[in-house]
Amino acid sequence: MSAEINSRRGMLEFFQARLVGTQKNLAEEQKLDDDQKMVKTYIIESNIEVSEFLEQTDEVKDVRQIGDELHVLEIKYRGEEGQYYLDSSDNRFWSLYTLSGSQFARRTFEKLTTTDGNGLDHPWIPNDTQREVIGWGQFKGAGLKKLGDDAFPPEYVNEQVGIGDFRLNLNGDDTQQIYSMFKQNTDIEKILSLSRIKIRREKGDEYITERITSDGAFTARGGSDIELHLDTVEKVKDRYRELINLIEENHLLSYDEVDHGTRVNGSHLRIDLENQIDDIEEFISHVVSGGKPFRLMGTTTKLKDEYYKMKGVDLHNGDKITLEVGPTWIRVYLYEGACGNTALRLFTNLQQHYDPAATMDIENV
Amino acid sequence: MSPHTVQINGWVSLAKDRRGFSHSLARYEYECDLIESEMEVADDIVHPDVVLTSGPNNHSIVAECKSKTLDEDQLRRYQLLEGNSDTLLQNSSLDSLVDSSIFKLETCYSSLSDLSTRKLLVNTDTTFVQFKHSPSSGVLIKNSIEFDSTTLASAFPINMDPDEALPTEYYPFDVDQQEDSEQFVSTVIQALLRAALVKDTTDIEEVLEEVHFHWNHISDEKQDRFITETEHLLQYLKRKELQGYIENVADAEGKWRVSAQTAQALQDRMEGPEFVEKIAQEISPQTSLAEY
Repeated sequence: MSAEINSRRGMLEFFQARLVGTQKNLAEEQKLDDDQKMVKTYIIESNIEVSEFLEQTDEVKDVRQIGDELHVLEIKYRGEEGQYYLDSSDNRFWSLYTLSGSQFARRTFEKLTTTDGNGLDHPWIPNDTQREVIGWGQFKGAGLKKLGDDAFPPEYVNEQVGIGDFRLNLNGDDTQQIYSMFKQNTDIEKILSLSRIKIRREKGDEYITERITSDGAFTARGGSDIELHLDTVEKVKDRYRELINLIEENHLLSYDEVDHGTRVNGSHLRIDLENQIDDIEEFISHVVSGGKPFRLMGTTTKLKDEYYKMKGVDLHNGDKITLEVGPTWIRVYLYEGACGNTALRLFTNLQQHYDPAATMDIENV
Repeated sequence: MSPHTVQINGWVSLAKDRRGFSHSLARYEYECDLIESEMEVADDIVHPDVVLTSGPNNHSIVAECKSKTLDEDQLRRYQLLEGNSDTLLQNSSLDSLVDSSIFKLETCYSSLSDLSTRKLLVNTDTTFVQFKHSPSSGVLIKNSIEFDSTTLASAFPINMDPDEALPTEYYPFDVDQQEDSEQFVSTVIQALLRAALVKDTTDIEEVLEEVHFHWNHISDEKQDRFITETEHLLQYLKRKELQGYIENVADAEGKWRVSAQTAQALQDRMEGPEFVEKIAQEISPQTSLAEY
């Protein structure tokens, strides 16, 4: 099938057929034979050129250009192979489409976007923005999960916020009430994080049902028009870009040399926490361990009791980052040229793994 | 952290409109215009630590951050500057001023301790501002006499939530302040980590420009001291903490080879505040970084 696709139009027709086929199977049989029929799109935040990506990525075994800034990639990773379509027409936020199986596609997406120093990342969509996206359509489901996971040792998070293993998958129209109950209950919202959402969007007679994760993965779970899927991806990109731009415009420290001194521009970001940090030193050690998902590394100094400072780097791109941490707040300092994604990665992972009720104060949001 | 560094951060932060710290001066559109500037006024030199300017008010605060000592001649020079506000206009290109023809500046002294009863300050009309604070216990910023500017007069004194801690990164350290030595070490390691992740080598100039945004403005004498301190820290890391992971490049003075392994070696060693604390103590046992 892939050899026949030689244009963007061809790709979209192919996706459209799959989308309608998926919907037909779901409607008639209430199940899919295999999930390869679903169209999946992944947003990749890029700080490099496409050519650099194609040259440096070992997993890309073959490349064929089929349009302006549209490439077909044959990707092999951990023994599996699949076909992907890379759309880099937006040079900061690429779209990677595939019909591969969800597990393979997910592993590939994670590999591409979490390799240290390769200049690629994925969006880190905060809870508020996910709730905003729910408002774009009808609620069809959500995933709520316990905190911790790979970011903090389970015993540390359990000690901090007191919840055992818990995961809640809401799926279907009638689950909105349950979701609303969780959303309105502040105590529950402090311990359960919103990891994914599912919505149905309509435009005229057309519709799409989308599953969207907090790291920018979209699965079209049935619908009538592939353009609506692409539109959802673009709308999320636009909202996310707005957050990134506000951070980069207002919150990067820069120092202008003037004739007789130095001027200081920009200001820090501030994260407020509902879940108080009891042991700040231990908390920082988990955040800057160098591992996923925070991917930060640095040294810590103690300024006072319950006031610590971390000076380090983002392993994703080598950008500097400084944190000041108190019991209920974190100040984030980024510097000229830094990527706003660094702050959103920290913030969203704190929401996902430590405190879903955390807020970040971004100027003009 | 030294009182000098704490105060510079305090002044800059007052002009940043951020939640969690008073933005009393940002509210009146004061912005940090200059840090550690140098100006010639009537054949004399003044070195204000911080200049904050409000364009709409056509007004600047020129702040000198003190610890314990007061210098009569320095005060005289600041008073001279106050009478020659054009000097500041010429030296800092205050683009934000609405009407530069009515521009005024006020000088003030600040300190963490109470110097207001010192004879020198009692006998002048120069405002003295005290930052009564510790980094973890909040801030009361009070002034000995009112500012001439009615806007500033209404902004002070400033009372802040006692749970708040002062931002400290707008001016991370002063190489001449012994109490800033941990921040000096931490900032150099940050630059080293960055170099280790994005390139194979770095040199002392690159590290210094990265860690000190005033590098091109500080005096030759201070630059020399800074170079010495940084070289000493790198040599220490080579001999002790990063043995085998950081090397001088052969035949290239001041150039250092670093790699992802250097970053990994640092990561393996830098657990908790003790790492920086120990290095700061070992490289700087004297009373001042500059005297090492």
